[in-house]
Amino acid sequence: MKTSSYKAVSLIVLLHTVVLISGCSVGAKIAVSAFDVQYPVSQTSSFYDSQNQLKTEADYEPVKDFNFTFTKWGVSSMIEIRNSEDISNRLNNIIEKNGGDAIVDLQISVNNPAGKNGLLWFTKRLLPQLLCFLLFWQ
Amino acid sequence: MNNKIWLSIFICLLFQGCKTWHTLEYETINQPIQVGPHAAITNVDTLGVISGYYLFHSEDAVYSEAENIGITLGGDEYIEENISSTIYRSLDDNPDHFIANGVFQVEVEQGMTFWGFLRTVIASSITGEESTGGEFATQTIRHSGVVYKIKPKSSLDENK
Repeated sequence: MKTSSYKAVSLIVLLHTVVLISGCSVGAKIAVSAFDVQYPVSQTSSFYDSQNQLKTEADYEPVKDFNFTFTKWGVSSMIEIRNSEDISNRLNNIIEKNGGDAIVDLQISVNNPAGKNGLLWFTKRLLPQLLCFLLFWQ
Repeated sequence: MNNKIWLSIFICLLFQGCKTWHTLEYETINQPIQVGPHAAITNVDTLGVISGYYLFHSEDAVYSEAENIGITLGGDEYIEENISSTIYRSLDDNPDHFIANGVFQVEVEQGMTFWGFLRTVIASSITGEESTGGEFATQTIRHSGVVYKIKPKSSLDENK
């Protein structure tokens, strides 16, 4: 009995030491690509067409603005999980649906929903206590 | 209020997060930066791979307050990027170049470092009350792509 208590206490001390030394963080690392997009998609206001002709703002007229978002989950940015997103189909569908020829001024935005998140705060406060409780209870 | 309403409020609070978006956008007029492949695979020279990144880092100040004393430690916020010195500079120096096959690596991280935790302990020990803050959040967008150049017409004629 004494030995098992000693082990539990040692485990808790070790756990807290590791957490203190390394810090505690959550995050994700995601690759976003569009390798199979069938039309020119540019982040600037110009693009090259299939005849290698440069098309600038004077050469086209805007059809429609669009935006879409997607969420990916991660455990930690230190642990790289293959969690990539190919947006080719979305871009192809947007162009075809609107009868366009290309996409210009594409912007990529990111936000971290874990930042200042109540769920994260709750987990961080509750999880260590729960862990300690379970270890002592056993 | 009944329990369901309280439960709904509680769930909303749990998932209520900071919604600050950070955007990677380019402002060049005549030089495309394309996400997908270049439409024409012939008559272009592939010159190499280029990359750049945009990083936003913020760290909350640690704050603790008692009746007669209040203390604030740390707190930082900065943007770090090398887009200007890599991608923009490359395009500025070579007006006939453009970029295609773009890939983005998005990285987010949020938490507390050991030093952040230490600051909360220091602030608490000074005031004798609980301290808040000390958490960091980082958002990074890395962009890499292939630099191309359209072959000049004279070299095309020579090839013919």
